[in-house]
Amino acid sequence: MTGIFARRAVAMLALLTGALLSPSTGSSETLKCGDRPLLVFAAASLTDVIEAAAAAFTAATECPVAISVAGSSVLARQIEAGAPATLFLSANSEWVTWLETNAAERISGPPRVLARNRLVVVGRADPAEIADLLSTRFAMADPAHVPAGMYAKTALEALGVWTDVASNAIFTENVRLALSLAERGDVSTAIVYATDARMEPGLNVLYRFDDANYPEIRYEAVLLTGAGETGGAFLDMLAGPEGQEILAKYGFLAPDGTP
Amino acid sequence: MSELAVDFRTRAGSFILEGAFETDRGITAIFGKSGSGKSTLLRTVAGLVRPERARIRLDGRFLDDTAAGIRIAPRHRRIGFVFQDDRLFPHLSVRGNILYGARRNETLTEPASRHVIDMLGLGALLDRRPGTLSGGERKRVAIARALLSSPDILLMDEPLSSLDHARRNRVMPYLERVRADTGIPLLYVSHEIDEVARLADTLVILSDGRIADYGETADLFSRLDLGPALGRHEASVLLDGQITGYDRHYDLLLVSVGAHTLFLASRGNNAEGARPGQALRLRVRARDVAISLARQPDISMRNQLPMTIDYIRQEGGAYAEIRGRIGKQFLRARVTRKTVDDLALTEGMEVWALIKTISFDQRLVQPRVPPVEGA
Amino acid sequence: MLTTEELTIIGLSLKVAAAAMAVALPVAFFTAYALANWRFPGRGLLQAVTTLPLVLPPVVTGYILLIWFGANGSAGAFLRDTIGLEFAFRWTGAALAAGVMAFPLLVRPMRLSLEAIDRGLEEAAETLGAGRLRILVTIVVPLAMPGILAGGILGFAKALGEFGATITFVSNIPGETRTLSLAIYSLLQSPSGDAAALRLISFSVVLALGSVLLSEWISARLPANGKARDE
Repeated sequence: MTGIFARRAVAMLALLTGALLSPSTGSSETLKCGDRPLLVFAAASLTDVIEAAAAAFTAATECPVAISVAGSSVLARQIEAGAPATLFLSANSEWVTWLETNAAERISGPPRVLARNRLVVVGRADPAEIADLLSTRFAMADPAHVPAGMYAKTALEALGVWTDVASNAIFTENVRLALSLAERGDVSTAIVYATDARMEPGLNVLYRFDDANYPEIRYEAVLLTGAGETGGAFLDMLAGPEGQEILAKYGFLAPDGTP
Repeated sequence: MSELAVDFRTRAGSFILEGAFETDRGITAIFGKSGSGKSTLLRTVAGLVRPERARIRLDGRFLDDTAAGIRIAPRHRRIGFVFQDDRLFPHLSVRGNILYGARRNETLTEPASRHVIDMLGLGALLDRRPGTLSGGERKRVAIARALLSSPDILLMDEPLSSLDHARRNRVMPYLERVRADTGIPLLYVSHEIDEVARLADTLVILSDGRIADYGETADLFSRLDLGPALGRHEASVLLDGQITGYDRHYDLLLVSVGAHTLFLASRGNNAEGARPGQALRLRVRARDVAISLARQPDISMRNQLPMTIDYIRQEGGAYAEIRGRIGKQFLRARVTRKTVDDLALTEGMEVWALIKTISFDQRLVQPRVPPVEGA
Repeated sequence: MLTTEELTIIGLSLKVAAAAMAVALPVAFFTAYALANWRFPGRGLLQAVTTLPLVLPPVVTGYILLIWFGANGSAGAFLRDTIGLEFAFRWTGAALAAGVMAFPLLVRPMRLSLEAIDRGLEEAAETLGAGRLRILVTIVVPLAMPGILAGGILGFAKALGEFGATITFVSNIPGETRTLSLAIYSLLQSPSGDAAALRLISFSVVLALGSVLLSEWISARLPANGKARDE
């Protein structure tokens, strides 16, 4: 199945469900789209789900949405540098806070938590104790600079096993790489986001980290200047039942932490 | 008025070259050992090096006059430069090369370029690339390229030095044709005394960074004091002669020098040049001339000329140089000092100079083509 | 075979790379010419700056561009206000990033070609009455052509594939700045994008390979430089 086809299918589905479940999205009669597509800056890990949500939004409102995906940090700096984005979807709250400090003039609304994520261990073996799972070579994002890696390290430290297992770790540039190492069998396990885990049907979730052991992984959205009515409507949709359903479908947890 | 007048001082690193000379139409050879600054002199005239001071006048127009703040850019000097290493443009055909400089010449007509192409025998080479040409062909292309930029003067930097002996002899006639056919003055750098003797009307002698002397080639060749500058073993004189007849039976040319007649082997003289009345330049090396107190009828050296000893130069060593006068011309002989004493040779004596016919080597016997008048 | 969306991406990439080359080629040629022929103060610095995009992480180059040429950047604001040229988050900015990143690849082969030209040929042309411009056009450029073409093709391929500086400088906006490599990056973020990513990847590999082969072929076929005149 091609990506385009998949996206269309999702859009159709979203259109149907959206029309039935969510009158709050608004209708084409009431919403003015503006002369350019609504430009959304989204963290790369949200690529899939935001494209699906945007397709649903466009189907319902006929307002086109353009999504620029990159690292949250890069996007935040571009917004500070004057990027014409109208909505910023960050993979964490840090970069939203950073924006509030460094480019307060670009922000036109309070940050809203859209979803949460959690860390899990995936692999092909059977579920086991964390120390056993990580006793052979495993992959995780680089704790030096990748957020997922930082969270994983914090969690492992809280569990008191970090010093024992650190020497088995293979640090990767991003979470997806860690996942694919596990998928190809280069490592026996990998520490990834729960949303990543569902991408590889061949891998099982062997362990779920306790949310209390690491900082909350929150996806935050903030409206930017120039967002207009359309930007607000899209954010409302994401935070509303229709958007939450799409997010859940892609493995995200609700803002309150429920699956 | 002289065609070219040069007075300059050029510094190249620690080397300083300076001097002054004037010259007329025809071929002017700049002669000197390697390292004597010949190329620097040529490049100064071309404007390719910046002299400390210079006053260079060509045909009444100043190319350089540092005192007056005049310095014409090389591309406006109307000079044709034939470089020692040709410097043909490798990406252009022969045609493209020789027409490169023609652009600035609004009066260049097709027949004019045809004439140069024919004169230098390039007709069959026009579509070739320089990389496929022989050394002699490349040289001819370089000459044609310079000529077709319709220069007021041609500068040639050792144009023959990169060629072997055979090719050199094949290219030299082309230079003589250029001189005869175009009337463009030619400044010619060489360290080969044979070339100079054959080609040059005027000679500029460079030695140790200065111009030792300049003047008519034949005059300078007869000067004993220029021995070191011209190369001792090659000490020679130039005689002007005229063909008076041809002995078909013996295949010998009869050549008059002043009131006397010499017999020369005709081999090597082309049919055109060997006609009676044709002027010749003969070069005779001092070491090939023997002295006798009387005419010698019973000796194989048949060319015997009476001369008056004009000067005897002895400077230690075994040899002495004798200069004798034959009419208005000079001859030099190189003999041992013992001979001078044995024969009691003194200045003012009447003696006979004996020269073997074979001494007039074929490439030393050249048609003298008078420079083109006017133009 | 390729969808309209993919064709748009490829078209945009070609447009960006072509614009980058159109501007960068002459600038690179002049830089290479200066480095090859002139001795001037700051020559070493120019040389270093020229190779900088090659050794700096692309993200750094992109970030520097963002600061200078972004909507709030001094150079960006100046160009926008004076000649109406806007780079920030536009395809022109993607072209700028691509041109900057490809610059060292352009300069180097050109410089080698230029350095191999016998200066005597320029002197000869001068005595034949040619001015500087004519010498440049008729002697220098033709003799440096192998380097210009090799550099141009290599630079074009690099411009097509530029990622780090582009995404940092002008973001990843579909239809505006989402070039081939940015599109591949975006597709790789989603599990369903693998097939489409693979098609674009194959396309870029073919394009890059073709460019490098073409560049090699041209270098091998063009007549040798001035110094190889005597065979």
